[in-house]
Amino acid sequence: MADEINSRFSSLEDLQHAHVELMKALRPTLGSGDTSSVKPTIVEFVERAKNTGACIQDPAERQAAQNILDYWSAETVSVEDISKDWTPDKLLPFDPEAGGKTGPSAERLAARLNARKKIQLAAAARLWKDSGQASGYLLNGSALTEAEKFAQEDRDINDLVLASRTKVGTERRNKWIIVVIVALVAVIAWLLIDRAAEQRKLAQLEAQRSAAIADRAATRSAEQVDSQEVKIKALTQELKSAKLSAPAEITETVPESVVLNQTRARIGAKETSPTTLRGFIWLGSDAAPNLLDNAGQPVKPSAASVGGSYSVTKNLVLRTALPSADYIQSDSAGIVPEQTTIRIVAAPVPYRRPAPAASKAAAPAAAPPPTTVQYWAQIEVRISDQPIVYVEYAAADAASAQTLAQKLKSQGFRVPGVEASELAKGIDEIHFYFAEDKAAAERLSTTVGAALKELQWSGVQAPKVVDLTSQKGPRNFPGVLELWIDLSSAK
Amino acid sequence: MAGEKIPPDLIDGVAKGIGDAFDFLQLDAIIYRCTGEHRINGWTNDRLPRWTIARNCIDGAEKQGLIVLFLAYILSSLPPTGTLYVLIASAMPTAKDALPEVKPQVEEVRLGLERTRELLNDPAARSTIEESREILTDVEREISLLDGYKGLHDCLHSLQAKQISLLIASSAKIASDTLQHDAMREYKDQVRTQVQCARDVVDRLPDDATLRSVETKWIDELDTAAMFLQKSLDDRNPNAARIGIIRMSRVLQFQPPRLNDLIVAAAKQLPLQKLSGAMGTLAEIDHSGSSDLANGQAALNRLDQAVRGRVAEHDLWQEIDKQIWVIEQIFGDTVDATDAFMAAWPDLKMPLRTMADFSPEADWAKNVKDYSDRIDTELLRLQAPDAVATGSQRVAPLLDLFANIRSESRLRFFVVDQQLRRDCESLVGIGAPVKSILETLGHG
Repeated sequence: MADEINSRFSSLEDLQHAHVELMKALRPTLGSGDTSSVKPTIVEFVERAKNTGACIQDPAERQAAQNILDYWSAETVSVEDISKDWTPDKLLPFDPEAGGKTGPSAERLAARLNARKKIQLAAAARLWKDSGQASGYLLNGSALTEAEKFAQEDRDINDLVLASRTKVGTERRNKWIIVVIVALVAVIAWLLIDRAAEQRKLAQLEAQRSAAIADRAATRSAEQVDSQEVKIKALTQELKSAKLSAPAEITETVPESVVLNQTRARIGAKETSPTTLRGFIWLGSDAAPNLLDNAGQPVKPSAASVGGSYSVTKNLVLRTALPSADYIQSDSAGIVPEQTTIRIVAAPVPYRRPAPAASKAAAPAAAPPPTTVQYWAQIEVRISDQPIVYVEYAAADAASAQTLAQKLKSQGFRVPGVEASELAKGIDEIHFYFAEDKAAAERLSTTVGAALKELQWSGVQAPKVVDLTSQKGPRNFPGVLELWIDLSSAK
Repeated sequence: MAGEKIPPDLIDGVAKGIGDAFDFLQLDAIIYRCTGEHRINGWTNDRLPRWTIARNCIDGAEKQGLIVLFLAYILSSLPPTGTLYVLIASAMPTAKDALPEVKPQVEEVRLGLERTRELLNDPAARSTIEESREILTDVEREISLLDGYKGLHDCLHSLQAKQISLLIASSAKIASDTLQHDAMREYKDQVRTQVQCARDVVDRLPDDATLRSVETKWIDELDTAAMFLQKSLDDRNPNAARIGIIRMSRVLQFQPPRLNDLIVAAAKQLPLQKLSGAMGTLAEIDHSGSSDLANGQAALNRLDQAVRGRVAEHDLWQEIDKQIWVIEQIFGDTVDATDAFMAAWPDLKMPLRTMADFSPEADWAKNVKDYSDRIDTELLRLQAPDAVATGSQRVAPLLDLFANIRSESRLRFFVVDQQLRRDCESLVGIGAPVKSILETLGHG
């Protein structure tokens, strides 16, 4: 039985397949006039083809099979046969017992399906061309993927696929553009929100730090200095960290004019000339005045005259308004450094306040707490052409800083004070916050450099000028520079 | 022509224009006609955008000194009033009339060879010619082969006009139908005439027993098949007639492509470039003032391009004809040819459309495109659920359309075949003076 099955093809389709394959294999020999070498192969095929008739019933299929048989049988006929009454090989009659496949193989079915798809796509491609390449015919998704398989086999399909790819690419690109735009908008919005928060935080820290510095300056002689120092250091540290972590662009967008305008608005003072400012300062009490006359003698505030010029004995905070009735102070607008000459423009205003601690100690226990009268007045202060320099230094003792300060004073800088700070360790910088102070900062750098040479402090680095105009806060003021210097090696 | 380049300000426009008008397969066919090789595969690939493919082809053609010829073939496929034609003509004016023809070159080459023969009397020149003896021998042999194989191909091609499936159908009726019987006899006579013609051609092939034997065998086979047919007609025996037709068809199916391959090989081996170089060397020592050698040298270069182009075109058509045979077979061997046809059709449609696109204005090209579209539509219709007809009735319109497209393409192939035949006849005009030079050298 097995031999029987092996001696035939199981269907017309199998026979056709074998026929085409054999034709390909024998191509160089067929029709050459010399087929002797392949004759056994042909004879074997003819035998199997003949036997295949047993499993083919349909007359049309039998005719197709007979055609194939004739094609190969013709090759087995020799020249001598011409004279004979030649009868061709015939298919065996159909045998219901022989079995055989009724349908095509899965492979053939797949090939058929593929061919159909190709034809359908070719027709679709032609319709697309005939329509003047209307975009409605273009493919996408799985249809495009399917068509791509046939693109190289048909020019029309290829053109359709290329046009479809272009359209899909454009749509995908547009989609991406929208996604990117949305993402960008979201990021920008987040950055703006974040920037605003950062700005608020920096401004807050700047304000707190400047207030602390100003308060320290205003009460340098008072007992709270130590606690203020701690507070200032902590704030300075926090501010530096905040500035380090804050993106530069956050501060870059703050126009300088706004800061100046804000400052002026806070002061509430009318500029009398481009070189003067008005504000309010604490004049002290008659027992402890903050004013000196031209001869250097203390002047009681109650005796200070409107229009009179005096110099101040302390670094005082310039306020935008008088304190309230319960002595709550207004915003700070700047600093009037010690020895600055002011002109009183309105009569001093008295405030009754608790007496200083020394007075309290001297008072009887049962008596009401002693009080004193503190004076405030609106003043006009000339903006000095001598820059104010705050020296923040790192060193074992203050002597070297004082020496340097003296050198600076001798070169036309006002140095309200020097402050030891661990933050200055390893730093040699001059900070300026207003563009118009750049020249002064550079002059200060040159001056410090020259002083260091003169003092032969070769271990101390000459400070470099750092432009912090983009980071200035509401409590930085024109004409005020910061010198951060490590004087540990000053010898 | 070597070293010419498209001006940089025009190259992008030219590349885009060519990319829009020609796809990968078309450019492949053009480059094949320029070089006789599918060099496009080394220059670009079919997955790239068409503009890029076109640009890569231009770059490749420029690097290999083929840009003028490449653009000349492009121009030959375009209407002269079209934008792209005008653009290319302004970018490379020399491409306009650069497509060389064989015949005009042959006359100049022949004059150069005549002058060469005259110089054999000059000892210095003779010595130089002696050095080129091998080249001359090869030229003579390859021309002889080219001419011989082309002659054999022609003999068979003239028999291919009839569709074998129709002949087989006729053979079944010879016992009862006198008209069919007479038609078969006429065809048999044509075959026998061509057998005799082929035997004559074999005698023109180089005197090489093995080479001639290969050709003689299939001629004998064709003769045998014709004798079968003769006998079957005498006896009015349809079975024998069928055998005769089938054996004849096998020769007609498989020998022309084989002969075409031999023609292509002979054309590739034809050492026209080497002969051009040798003629150039001789021109340098010829102080007679004659320009025959210099002209001959230039003409040989053009001739080389012309022969390659013509042979390549013939080769492309031969491939198409092979697929026509495959499809013809399908209609005879299958019950419902639709599926088998559908699978085989793209392999005919693509190259046929490519060739048709090169001559968009020609009637045959328009017909081929029209039949091709209608075949696609018919195949689509045959898949429709309401396509209820069965058997031969079902595929009759498809068969009819195929017969039309087959007829158009075979006719076109026949025209190309004739052009190549004329070119080969012209080339033989070179063979004679070459042979004369070699004979003189031999007697020397």
